[in-house]
Amino acid sequence: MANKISILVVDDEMVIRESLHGWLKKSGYKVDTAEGGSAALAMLEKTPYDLLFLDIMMPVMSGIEVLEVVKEDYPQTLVVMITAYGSVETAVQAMKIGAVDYLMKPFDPDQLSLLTEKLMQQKRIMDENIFLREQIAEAIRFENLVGRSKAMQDLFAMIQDVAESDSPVLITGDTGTGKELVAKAIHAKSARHNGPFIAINCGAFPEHLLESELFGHERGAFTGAHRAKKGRLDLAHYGTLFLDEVGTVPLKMQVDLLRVLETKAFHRLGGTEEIEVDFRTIAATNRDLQQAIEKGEFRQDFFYRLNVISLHIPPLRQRRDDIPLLVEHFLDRYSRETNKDVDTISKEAMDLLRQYDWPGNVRELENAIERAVVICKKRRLGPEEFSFLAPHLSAAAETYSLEKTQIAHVRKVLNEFDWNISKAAQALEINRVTLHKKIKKYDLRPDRASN
Amino acid sequence: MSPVNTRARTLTKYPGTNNSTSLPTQGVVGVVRLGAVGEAVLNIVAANLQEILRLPVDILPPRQSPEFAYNERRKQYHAALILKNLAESLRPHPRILGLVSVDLFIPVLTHVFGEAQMGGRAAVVSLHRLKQKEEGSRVSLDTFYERVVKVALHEVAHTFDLVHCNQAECIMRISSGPSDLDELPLFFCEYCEAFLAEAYRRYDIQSLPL
Ligand SMILES: [Zn+2]
Ligand SMILES: [Zn+2]
Repeated sequence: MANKISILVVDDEMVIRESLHGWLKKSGYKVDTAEGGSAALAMLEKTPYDLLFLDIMMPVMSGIEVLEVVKEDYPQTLVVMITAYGSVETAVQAMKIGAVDYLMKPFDPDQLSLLTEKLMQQKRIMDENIFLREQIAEAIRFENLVGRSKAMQDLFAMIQDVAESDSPVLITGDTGTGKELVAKAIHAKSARHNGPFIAINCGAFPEHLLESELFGHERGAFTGAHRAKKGRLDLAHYGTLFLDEVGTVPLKMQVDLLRVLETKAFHRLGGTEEIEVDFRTIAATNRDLQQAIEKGEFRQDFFYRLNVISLHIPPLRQRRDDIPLLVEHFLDRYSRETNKDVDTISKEAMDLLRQYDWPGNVRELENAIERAVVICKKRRLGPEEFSFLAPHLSAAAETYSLEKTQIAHVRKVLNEFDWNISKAAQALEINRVTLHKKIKKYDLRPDRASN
Repeated sequence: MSPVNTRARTLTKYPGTNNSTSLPTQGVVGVVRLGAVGEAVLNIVAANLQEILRLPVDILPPRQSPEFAYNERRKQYHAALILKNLAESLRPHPRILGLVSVDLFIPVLTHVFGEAQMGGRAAVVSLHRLKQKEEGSRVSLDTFYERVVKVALHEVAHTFDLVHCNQAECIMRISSGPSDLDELPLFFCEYCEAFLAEAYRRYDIQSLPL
């Protein structure tokens, strides 16, 4: 196991570099050396070092500066500071930034061997933790439902509660927020978890096909129906039926579906036999169904039937704090799937991802990470790997005018909260009256067509 | 897999002369004292290396204290310079072990008991710190000899590419301090034995029969 550990020694003094290199080699570690901060950072871009010995006093880039970058970009790498007599205070400062320990030159050999051994043990525990965490994540199948934000924690709690009942659930949220994942999570935690989870994207089929997909058909029910086929209502027996994009279901079929939900029985197309089924319904939509009802495009009785319990998934732009966690999650997955050693992301790139509005939500973020991993040639994603996001980013940013900046900012916050004036005002830390005045003065209006 | 190593080794204290007729005329390891080092300790080291490493060992003529390696600032002797000097001279033994009585250092460490070139030719052992207990009083002659032999074995094994071992019962375990050294056994664990045998093959070295 010791043979796999890799160490980088960073010191501007060649004799120190070489003698520490020689000493570590004797323990079978893979050891490299760098004579300065920028060389070290360049090497870190290519190799995931487990441990860094980092000199505090170096010309050009100090050890502290290097440490800051390392802790930001490669948090998995342990750092031991090398200090000289008189720089102990700086070493203490370094430990606050995240160095695990420091050694004063020349090192006591016993101290060095004890420390190295301790760190290697720690490293092994860390690796085991990562392994365990992955296993747990796999086990509860919350998959892409990653989030530490209040909004997501509330959602997780709701899922837990909802799973215990058998009532229909309506999940709302923008495209790409993970509505199907929430539905799966509810199913997985419900009493029906041993039964099937049958999903159908209602928006993906033309009307007649949707009907036969859902209800199934008997042989000869229509031209081309050469044999009988079970519908998804059938297949969902004892399990959960997930109706995605339920807002697109044609009015006539809403009536049929409502009847099924009420009677728990249906017949196949071209059939007379009544088939009894027992399933739970979870529906999802990114449409404002209230509005659709007003327009006469959605039946109110069907809506009430579906919307016994409602769950809303906030768009990603309203829970930006979850972005780093999601990035880590996807980075982990795609570096493994693409078999590339891309395992970290620079601070600038992360800032960029946090600023972006993510109209396509988590799915768009996932696609962006996958794309970046594929094009990346180092082990760390930088802003250059996300240049395809840039056109959407810079629109408001490139002005020095205070007023223009303010207009852009107010507009951005309003959009983030879907023009909920109270919430936006709260976020802006101004009162609602002031916000109303600003909206009027700058002639702001909702520019998000979807709402 | 070889069976678990159960040899309880004790120091060979009264060695017969090497270079005896039963050995090849050219040893694999040459041991040499540099400066004020007693003949007894040199003989004991040679005999034990020969027995435990199963390699023919020759005692080479004594040389002067390595003043060229003295560092004025540290008031110690630079181990790497001694190794370089040993490696460049005294051919043709494939391995050379020097014994010195001066205190050794490498730039990054306060001191070392011994030092070796990984996979190289030269190794060196300092007797300086091995004579004393941590608090400064002298250890018995037996303990002293045993320590020197252990450091010598450990360092010479490094020249055969052996790295530190985390088996509890192995001479290649890293020791912290002289008293920790006393806890180390006088033999290699089965893994290190196997690595050593492989290294002999790799370096085309004929070991002595068991
Ligand atoms: Zn060693
Ligand atoms: Zn061993």
